[in-house]
Amino acid sequence: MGVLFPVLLPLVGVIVVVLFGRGDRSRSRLLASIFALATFIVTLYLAVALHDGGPDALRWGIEAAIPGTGFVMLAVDGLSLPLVILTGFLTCLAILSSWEVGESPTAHHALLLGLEAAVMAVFLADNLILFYVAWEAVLIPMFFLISVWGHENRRAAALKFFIYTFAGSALMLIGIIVLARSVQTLTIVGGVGTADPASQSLVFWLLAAGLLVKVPVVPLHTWLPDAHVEAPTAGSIMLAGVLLKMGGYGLLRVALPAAPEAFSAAAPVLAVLGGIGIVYGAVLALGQSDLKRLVAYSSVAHMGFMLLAISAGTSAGIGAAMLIMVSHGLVSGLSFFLVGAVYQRTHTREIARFGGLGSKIPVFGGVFVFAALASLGLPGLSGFPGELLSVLEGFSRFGWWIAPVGVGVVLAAAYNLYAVRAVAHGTLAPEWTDIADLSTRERIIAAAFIVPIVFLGLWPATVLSLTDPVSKVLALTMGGGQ
Amino acid sequence: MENVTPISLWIPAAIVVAGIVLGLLADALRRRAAGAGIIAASLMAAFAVCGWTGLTLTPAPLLDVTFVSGGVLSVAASVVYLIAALSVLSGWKQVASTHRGVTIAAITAFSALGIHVLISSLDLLTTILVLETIAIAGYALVSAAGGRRADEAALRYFVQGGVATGFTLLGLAVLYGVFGSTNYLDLYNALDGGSRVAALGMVLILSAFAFKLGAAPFHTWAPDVYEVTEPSTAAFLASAPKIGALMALLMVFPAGLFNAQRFPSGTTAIAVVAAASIVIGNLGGLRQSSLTRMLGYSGVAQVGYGLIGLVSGVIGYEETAIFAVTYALGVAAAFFAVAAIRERRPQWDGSISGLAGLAAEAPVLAASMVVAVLSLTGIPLFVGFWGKLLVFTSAISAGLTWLAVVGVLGSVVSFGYYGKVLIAMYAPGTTSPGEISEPSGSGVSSASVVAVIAALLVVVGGAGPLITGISEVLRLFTL
Repeated sequence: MGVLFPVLLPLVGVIVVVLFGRGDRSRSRLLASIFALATFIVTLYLAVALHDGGPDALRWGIEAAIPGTGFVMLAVDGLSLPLVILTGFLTCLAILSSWEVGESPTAHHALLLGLEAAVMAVFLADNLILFYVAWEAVLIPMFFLISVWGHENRRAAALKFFIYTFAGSALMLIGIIVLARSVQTLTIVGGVGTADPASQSLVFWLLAAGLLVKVPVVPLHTWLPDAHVEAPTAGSIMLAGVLLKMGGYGLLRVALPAAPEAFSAAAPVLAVLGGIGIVYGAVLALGQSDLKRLVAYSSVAHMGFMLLAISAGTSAGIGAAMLIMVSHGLVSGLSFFLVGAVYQRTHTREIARFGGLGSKIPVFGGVFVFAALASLGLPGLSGFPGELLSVLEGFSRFGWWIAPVGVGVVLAAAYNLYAVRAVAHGTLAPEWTDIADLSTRERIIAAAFIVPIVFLGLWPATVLSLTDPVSKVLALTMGGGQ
Repeated sequence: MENVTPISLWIPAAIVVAGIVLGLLADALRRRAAGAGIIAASLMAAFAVCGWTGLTLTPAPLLDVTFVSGGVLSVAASVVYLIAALSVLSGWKQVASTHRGVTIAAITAFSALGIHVLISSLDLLTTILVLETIAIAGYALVSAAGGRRADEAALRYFVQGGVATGFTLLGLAVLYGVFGSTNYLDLYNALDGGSRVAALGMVLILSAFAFKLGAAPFHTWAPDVYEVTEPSTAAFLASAPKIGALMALLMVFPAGLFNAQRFPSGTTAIAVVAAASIVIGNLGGLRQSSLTRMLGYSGVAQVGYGLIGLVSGVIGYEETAIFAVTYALGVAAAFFAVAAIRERRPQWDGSISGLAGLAAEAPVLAASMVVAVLSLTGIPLFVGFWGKLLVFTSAISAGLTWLAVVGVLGSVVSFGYYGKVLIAMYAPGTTSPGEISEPSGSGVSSASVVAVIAALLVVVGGAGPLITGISEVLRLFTL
């Protein structure tokens, strides 16, 4: 039963915010944050329940007349829990960071809660149809968040975002149908059935079409910079922090167990796509003049590491992928929050116009340097263990073929340090002499991001111990090691 | 069971006929609101009876297999009556105050009745007779909008329809002349797949149905007709006849008369028509600037999805029926929203970009349009998703994965134009606040109430099965 609440609470929140927050900004945001916080607390409760092994809290479903056809079937395990907690956490911070949103705050916060409910349903779905329904439902609030509250080119970006991801997921739907017909079952968490060998590669690539657009991998990534840049701050936090994780989660949860042989066969392709993402994303990030675009392209690079880790197909690789996803959720969330904060003060995102902000607004500068270090994978912060493991596992599987990834690692350091130098260091541009430092609310948000980033950097085993039981099973399905 | 079966066809038919007669009588006595009210009430009653019989009775033949009714057929008919009733209510402002309005209501009701008979018909002669009835009612409804463009569209519709009628009659003559019967069962037993005559009859009848459905390449009338017709009437014209024609086709094609085993070429032909409709409809839709014209082209594509279910053969029976109903609800909701927008903004030129600022001005109405458009796209949480999911599933089950892929890619393209509607409504308005004309008439208009009701139906139909499970939906449609 407990597993129902991460989906139900935000939905109730949508109704409450719309009914009681109407046109009143402070009441809308208060109600929204109460519901988001309650949802986050419930996700923590799920962690306790998982630890204690209380099965009642971990599964929930309405039984239909014919077994297995009920659609609302939810379940949680070690693979979904980290992402569920991440979603609950980031939604709280997204609402907190859009505290001052000007236009229709009621609708904005209601859409954020609706988005949270849909994403939670993706991570908790124990039914392929519900999984797809939730997957598409995510698009609706995100489409409106971008197209109404976004920046200058928001409408084109929203349309592009929707059509790209819809194109992928429509093919994924065909994959799901072919799979469901092959295995005659719809359950997910208990183990997706394995498609018959003849149709495995069809199933895998159809599913991958939807999943890889979402990740995104390089030839399919072009919606990402536009959507990320045009989205409002809360939208960017959710998009980078949570939505991109749906791709990796889907690969592990559905595509891998459904078509293990096709997955093994495709692993080198996935590794190459991941490697291209790491290098190409970093090159593009380095070339940006727009700070938000730089952060957006860094997501492509980070997700490349994630894909490389998955393609290794080992238990450790899967654990690394999960670690990267959680870490990237936090780090990119913090980065987008900072870009939003500086944009709110300066109304520009042009890197060349900044400079020396660290001396004028030291708290912002300090947090910005921290975010850049976390992004480049400084040991001791959350990005390091996952990406290190990813490279190690990739090396043990593919050998020296993954050497080019090293270039990406160096480039990651380059673009992050370039951003630090251009924004925080140097001489202060005269136009920003009366700029204000982070407010108390913003400092709380920054601290809320920093604490888990440090914590996971020091104790990555927190995530790994959750995912381990599941990733071992997945690795066995593939016939991989350990 | 035997003695209650007739309820499913005769009782609703009698109620509607009585409603039409009384309504026209009241109109003659200049009690127009009462007349329109009677007609609307009779349609609602027919909806209730059909809905009830659909849920409780399994289909059973009537009059020695001239008609079949109950089950899925009655459920489909109930939706037809419901949309007809909503169409009358949506145009209430005009319907209840003018002579022409009551006539429109009466013709709508008559057409709905015709569609019910079409769905139930098991005889080629009856099928063709009601197809003509529906078509003639259609011509009248189009020209009722008034003006030269409406006359032109109605005339073009009429001429093209006349050609289709010719095909149908020729097909009927061929089949009757050679096989000596018009009854489906008799023909089914007599037809022989190798016969050239039978194949000729099939081609003729298939093209007639393609015209009625507005499937490519017989689709050119559809965008014109949808554009010029009063939106409240277009809501009916764009939805209900398609339920009728698709359900009637189900009786004739793959599983019925011209079944796939004996006539594999028929299946291939429908598959090609389906793919062509999806491609032409979606590409045509992309180029439109007029909202209703765009809905016309999108309707062509949607018929293509329906035909996908049809070619899947026996497996696709329920799927096609569910698709027809879900599409009808979605497109009707869209046109009801158009009717409400037209009433709210009399100066609106009908263009998609002219919707700018609607969300700020009328948020509930804009939300109704969002629901309708997302349902037509086939996004989950809205009823249109189930229709598309099921036809694609049936295509894959029948080994036609390529057709399902064409279908989903068509859906993706369709968001190119459906999405423009969403973008336009949520864009800031071009008119300054002072210029916005107050909606004529005080309070909430009936058109906007109907738009909201239709949108709610789409949402309930979309979200409901998530809780009850899909088997419950399938049960409604089990023949």
